[in-house]
Amino acid sequence: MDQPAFSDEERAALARLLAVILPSTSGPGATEADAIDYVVGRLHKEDPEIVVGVRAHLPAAAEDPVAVIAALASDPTGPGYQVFRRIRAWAWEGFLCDPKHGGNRDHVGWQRFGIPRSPQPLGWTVEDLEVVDEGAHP
Amino acid sequence: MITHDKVDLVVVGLGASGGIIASEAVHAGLSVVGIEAGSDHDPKTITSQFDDDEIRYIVDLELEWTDPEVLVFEGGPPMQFPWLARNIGVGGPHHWSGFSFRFHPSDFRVASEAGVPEGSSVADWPISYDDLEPFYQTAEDRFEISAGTPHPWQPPRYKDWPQPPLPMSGRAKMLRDAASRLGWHPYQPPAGMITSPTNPGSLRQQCNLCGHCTHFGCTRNAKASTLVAFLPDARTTARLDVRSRSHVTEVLVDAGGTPRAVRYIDAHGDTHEQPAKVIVLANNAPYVAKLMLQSTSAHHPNGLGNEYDQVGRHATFHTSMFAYGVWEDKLLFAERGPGTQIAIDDFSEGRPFQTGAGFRRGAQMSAGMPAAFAGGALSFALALGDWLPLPEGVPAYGDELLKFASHAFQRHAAVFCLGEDLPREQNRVTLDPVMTDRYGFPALRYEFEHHPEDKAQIAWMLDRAEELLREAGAVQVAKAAPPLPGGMRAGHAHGTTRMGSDPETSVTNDVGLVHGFDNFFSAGAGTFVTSAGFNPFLTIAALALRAAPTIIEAAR
Repeated sequence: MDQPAFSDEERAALARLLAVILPSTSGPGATEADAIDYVVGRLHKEDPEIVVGVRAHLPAAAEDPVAVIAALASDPTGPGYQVFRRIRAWAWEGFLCDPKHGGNRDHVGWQRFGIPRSPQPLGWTVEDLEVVDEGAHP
Repeated sequence: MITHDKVDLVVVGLGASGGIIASEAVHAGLSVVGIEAGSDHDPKTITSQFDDDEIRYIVDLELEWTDPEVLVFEGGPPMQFPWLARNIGVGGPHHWSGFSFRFHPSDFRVASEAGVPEGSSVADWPISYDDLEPFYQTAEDRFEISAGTPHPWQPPRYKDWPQPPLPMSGRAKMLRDAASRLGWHPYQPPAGMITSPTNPGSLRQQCNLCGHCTHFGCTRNAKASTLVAFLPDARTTARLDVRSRSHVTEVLVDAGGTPRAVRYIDAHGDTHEQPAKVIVLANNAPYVAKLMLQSTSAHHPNGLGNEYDQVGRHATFHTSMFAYGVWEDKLLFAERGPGTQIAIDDFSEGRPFQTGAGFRRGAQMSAGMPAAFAGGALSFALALGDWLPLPEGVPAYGDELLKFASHAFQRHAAVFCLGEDLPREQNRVTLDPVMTDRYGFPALRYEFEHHPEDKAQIAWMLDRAEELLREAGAVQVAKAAPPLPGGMRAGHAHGTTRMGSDPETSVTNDVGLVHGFDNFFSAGAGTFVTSAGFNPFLTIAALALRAAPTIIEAAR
């Protein structure tokens, strides 16, 4: 079942939730990666129940996204936790996906994780598999 | 309804066992129809079909059948979700890790060696290691398995592996040395990866160490599968008719109750009937049982082959334990290189029990792969706090999580333990009384409870995993056993059509012929009597090679 597109307000609120999950405090986060573009581009693939669940929290998220995430994540056995898990997964997916899916703009996510490039089709050499001792320098 | 002409053999599921059986039958001159739920693949152009896109294979699970099952675990409420990692696609297995172990001699005689723990249905297999050894060798040759290195408990073998070992990564050497310091006996496991292409004209290229084995198809055909090792020759004949994206819903019987055809639904929703002299169910083990249970008739009111209520019972999954460590100042690059790094058999079979541990059958340890088994940063990050525990003090979201994940990704390595779980008669596949599948048949329902010795094994092995990581220098360690049997996506489903000599306690004979029939077979891991603490691929292949002559003879 296709989901109705997010309104501009809903999109902005969801982007704020993604930024609570992966903030830009110490480097690029969900905002810099345009993770929201990834999410809105794949709504048709998502479980309708989860999307409805997320949508229900967007009005509150527009006001205070930190409080919304804190409440959803507070009880791993509670009904809100599945919504939290999906929002967290969206944030990671939008941060670290192949950019062709809409997120990870300018490879900011991959760069933050130290990934120089996609391994295919080149793979790695035997030398690439060696351990690098970062403590070796003075 | 579209009714096809009768053929010699129908094979349901063209994966590890079905691909072999179909291929052997075609070469014996039989007409064969192979019906596969997943898509077809052309190995000549496969590099344009498979890639390293984590959204395709980790998020959207493109190589898995994702219809929900019903799981009743440890007596809890029924849970409905896609839990079985049921690999689909012509020529599987596609998304496997590559571990190509033989079972050990004791794995075929667990009851004789360890007894039958109360509450279990442990039994000996009707075949021995020696019966299967020649077929292990053939499987290794045909799949061009790369060599393992020696260790004290290596099963007897009479010929070298056809390929040299994979190169060993720096982190594997580090963990190997740590294991040796602990007095253990690490070795490099045999792997289903081409390391030195030798066959002129082969579709298979040398493994490029890309690190995308588990969950991914191989872009270079380096990873063994029947797509590249058996089916290419078979498909050059006109005798193999492959029907992909087609789902078998029933095995039909004649007026005397003998299987005569399968009914299937194709990708367009059209229903077909395919008659055959012989029918082999070679799809995922629990779904073989489901198909038999839902194939009811006047002669078989409780399902086909289920006269003694054995279909679906004795299900096993392997226990699954994992831990990962994070190093402060070392780049380990766990995402690079194949999914097979080092293995340790010190705790397999009955060895822990012999030294006083409270469980009779042990687990194998493997180490050096990424915590999410394979893939890149997204696979790792998605697992954190989800099915993979976070180290103490790392929150479930926010800047501290992001900082931890981005630091740990290239500075971590994992240890996995895969254990022999004891079969229980009550652990079984049935048909759910409420939920239905997409074709209107009852959904698959699993009722499963770990034996107490399984739980003891899980706790004990988790401690060994942490011991290894600490010895190797990890400063942070997180460990857990998944809260579901076999892992969050259970890939090793065995049993449910157990082989044996007594129809009252088993479903098939020693080559998978279902008791009471002469033209109806179950192939694959469903026929396993016990799970052994080793990855099942090579044993599935060896059993298929051993059964093929009997199947061919029945279809002549």
